[in-house]
Amino acid sequence: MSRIKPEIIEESIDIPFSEGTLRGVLAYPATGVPKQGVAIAGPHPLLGGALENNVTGAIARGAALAGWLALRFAYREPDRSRLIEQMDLFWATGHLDEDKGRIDELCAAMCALSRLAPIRCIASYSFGCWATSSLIHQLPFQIPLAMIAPTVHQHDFGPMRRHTAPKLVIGSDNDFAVSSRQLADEIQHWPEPLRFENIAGTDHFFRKREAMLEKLIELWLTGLAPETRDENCDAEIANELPGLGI
Amino acid sequence: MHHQQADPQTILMTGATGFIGRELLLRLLEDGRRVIALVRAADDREAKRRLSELLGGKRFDPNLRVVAGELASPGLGLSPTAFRRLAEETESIVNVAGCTLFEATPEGEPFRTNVEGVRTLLAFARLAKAPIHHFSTAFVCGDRAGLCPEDAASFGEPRNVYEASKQQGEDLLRAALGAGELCGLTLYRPTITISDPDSAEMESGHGLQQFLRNLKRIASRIESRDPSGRLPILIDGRRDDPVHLAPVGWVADVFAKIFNRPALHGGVWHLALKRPPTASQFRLAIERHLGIEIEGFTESSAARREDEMNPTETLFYRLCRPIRPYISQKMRFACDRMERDPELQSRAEMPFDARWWPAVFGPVNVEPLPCPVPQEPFENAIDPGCRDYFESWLPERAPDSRVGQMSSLDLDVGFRIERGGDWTCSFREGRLTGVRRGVVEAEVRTGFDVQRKTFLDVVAGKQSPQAAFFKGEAEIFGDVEAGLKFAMILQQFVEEHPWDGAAFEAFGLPLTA
Repeated sequence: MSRIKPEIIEESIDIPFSEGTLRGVLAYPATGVPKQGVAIAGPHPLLGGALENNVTGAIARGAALAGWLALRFAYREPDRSRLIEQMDLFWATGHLDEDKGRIDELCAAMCALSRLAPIRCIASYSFGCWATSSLIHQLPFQIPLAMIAPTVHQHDFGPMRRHTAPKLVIGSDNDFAVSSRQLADEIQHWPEPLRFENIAGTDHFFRKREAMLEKLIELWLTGLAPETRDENCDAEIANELPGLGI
Repeated sequence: MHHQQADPQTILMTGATGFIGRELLLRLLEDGRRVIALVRAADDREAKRRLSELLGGKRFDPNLRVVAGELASPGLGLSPTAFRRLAEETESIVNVAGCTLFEATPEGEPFRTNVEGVRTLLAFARLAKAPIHHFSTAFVCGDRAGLCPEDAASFGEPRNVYEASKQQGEDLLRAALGAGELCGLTLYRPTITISDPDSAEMESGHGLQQFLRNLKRIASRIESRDPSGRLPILIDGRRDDPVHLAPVGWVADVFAKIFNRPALHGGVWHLALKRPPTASQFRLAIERHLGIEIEGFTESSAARREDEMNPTETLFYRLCRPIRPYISQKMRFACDRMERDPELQSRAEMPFDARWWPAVFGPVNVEPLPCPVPQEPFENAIDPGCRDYFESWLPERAPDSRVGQMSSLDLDVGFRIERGGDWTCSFREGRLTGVRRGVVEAEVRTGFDVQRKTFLDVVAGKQSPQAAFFKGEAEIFGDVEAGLKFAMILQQFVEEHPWDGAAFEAFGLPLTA
C-alpha cells in the first residue's frame, strides 16, 4: 500500500482468474469510502499494457480524486513457450491469437472489483477500448464508458454504436494509431450522451499530459449523473460477470 | 556442373539452411542427387525463397525441391498426405539440422531439435524405409580425455545441454537401428567447423569466436591502463592440446565421398583432422591478430576455481562460461576409418593451414561486422560502453537469440544515444545482418533517441525499453508503432542476453574513457 499523492492510496491485489491470478492495483481516496468503482482496461500487453502504464495510471488517479475506487490490472503475460511465435505474429499483423482472451481478463477484473464496490464505469485506453467494446453488449446493463485513444481504425467498435450510456472519448491530435479524422468519423455514429475531448500537442501516449488526463477523468466521473440502478442491479453485476461465458 | 551418379537417389535433407547444411546441399546437387530440402517456413514458396537467398544467388537446381516443414513437429509439420507422399519418394535421409545452444531455452531447445527432431525423423524413416545419415558432433563424447575411438561403447558425462541433447539423439537412432526399425544409420561427427578460407561468408557462431571476442573486449580495457598490452590471463589447458577445427568445405567433401560409396555407410565417422593445430599455435595466431600478448597456459587439464584466478581471469572466464569446455580440448578424435580408406586417407592427413586462421576468427577480423561504410559524418561522441554493446556484444549474441526466429522481422533501426554514439542495426528475417555507425533518419524505419545512461540500463536489463519510453526517457522517431514493437523485441533479446558491461566496472576496468 502506498500514497502516490497525499490524497490517494494505491494497493496491489491479486485478481482470481481461470488460469491463475492477474496482478492488479487499486487506487482510492485516502479519506472516505468509495461508493462506486471503475475498471480500467489498458493497452495491448505487448505495447505497454502493464501496471506501470502512464495513461492507465492517470485514469486511476483521476478516478480516485473523484472519490471512486479504481482497479487497473496487467493482462496475463503471453505464453512464454510460444513467445517468439507470438511476437513474430504481432510484429507482422499487430494482433495475437490470444487477444480475445483479454476480454475474459477484463471480465475477471470487473468481477473482483464488483466485490469491493458497485461498478459504475469502465475506463479504457487504446487496445483496452476494443476489449471494453467487445464486452459491453454482453453485460446485462448499460454502463458509462471513458475511452482514451480508442483504436477505431484497427479494431471493430460496432457495439459502441448501440451503447446509450454516457461516454467520454479523449483523443489527441498526433496519434499514430488513429487520426483525429478517423476518430471523429467513427464516434459520430455513437449515441448520445457523448463528450469528446481532444488534447492538443500530444500523441497516442499522452506523455507529459498525464495531469490533464487525470483532471478530465476526475471531472467527468464527478459529473456523472447519480446512478439510477438499485442495489439489486449491483448484485446482478457481481453474479453475472463470471457466467457471461466470454 | 553435375557429376551424374548412376543412381541419382532422392534425399530428404534437413538443416539445409544451416552453415554445414548449405555446403552439403550444394555438394549433393553437384553430384547429381535429387534433394528435397525440409525448410522451416510458412509455406513452400516462402521456404524456397529463404533457401534461395541463403544460397547467395547460386543457381537454383532443377534437382532441388523445397518443402516447408518443421523437423520437431509431429509429421514434420506436414499434412498426413504430404508426409506419406514424401516418404514414398525418399530413398535416403540426411539430417544436418541441429541446435547448438549451450543453455536450455523455455521452448525446450536444444532438446526440441536435437532429440524430438530425431524422434520425428525416425518415424519418417520407418515409413520411408530409408537409411539415415545423421550429423552429430565429435563433442558428443562428453567429458573425456585422451583418444576417443569412433566405436566407443559409451559417452562421457555431457558438459552442457548441447552435448546431452546430441547424446540422446544418437542414443535414439542406435536404439532404433538395434531394434530393426531403421534400415541403415551412418553417424558423422564433425569437430568445430569453420568457414572456408576463401569464402566471403564467415561463420560467426562457434565458441572459439566468443573466446576471441572476449579477449578483445578485455584487451581493449587493459590497453587503456597498461601500455604493454599484456593480458594477465592463463588459458585453460596445455600448450600442446589440440584445437579441433576443420573448414566446412573439407567436412562437406569428406561427407560426399562417404555418402557416394555405400560400402562406407554405417557406423560412426569422426570428421576431424588428424593433425589439428595446437593450443600454442592458436595462441600465437590470436596474439598476432589482436596485437597483444597472452600470459600463457595453465599447463593443467583441470579448470581452476575462481579463487585461484586473478580478477581479469575471473572476468574473462565468466564471459566465456558457456564455451569454456571448448577452450581446453583435452581429447583427441580417432579417425581410423578415414585413415584406412585409400581415398580418404589424404583428407585425414591434411595439415591445418595457417592461412585458415582468419576464417577461425571470423567477423572479429572485420570492422566490426561486414557492413557498409557510414554514409554520414559521425559526429556524436562514441562511448566505450555503447560501442561495446553495438560492435561486440550485440553481433556476438544475436545469432544465438530466439529473436532470430522472427522471420517477419525485417527493418533497419537507428539508435541515437546522447553522449554515446549513433548506430544503425539491420535485421532481415529476424537475423541481425549488419551494424553500422551513424543514423540516416530517412533510411531507417524507426529509431530511438535516448540518453547514454538510460540506454545502458536498458541493455543491462535494469529497465525495460518500453518503460523507458513511457516514462519519457526515450523517444521514438520514424514509425512509432514499429518502434514500440521493436522495443518489445529488444526486451526479449535483453532478457536472453543482458549486457554485462557492469562487470568491467566491477573489475576496475571502467567503460568510460
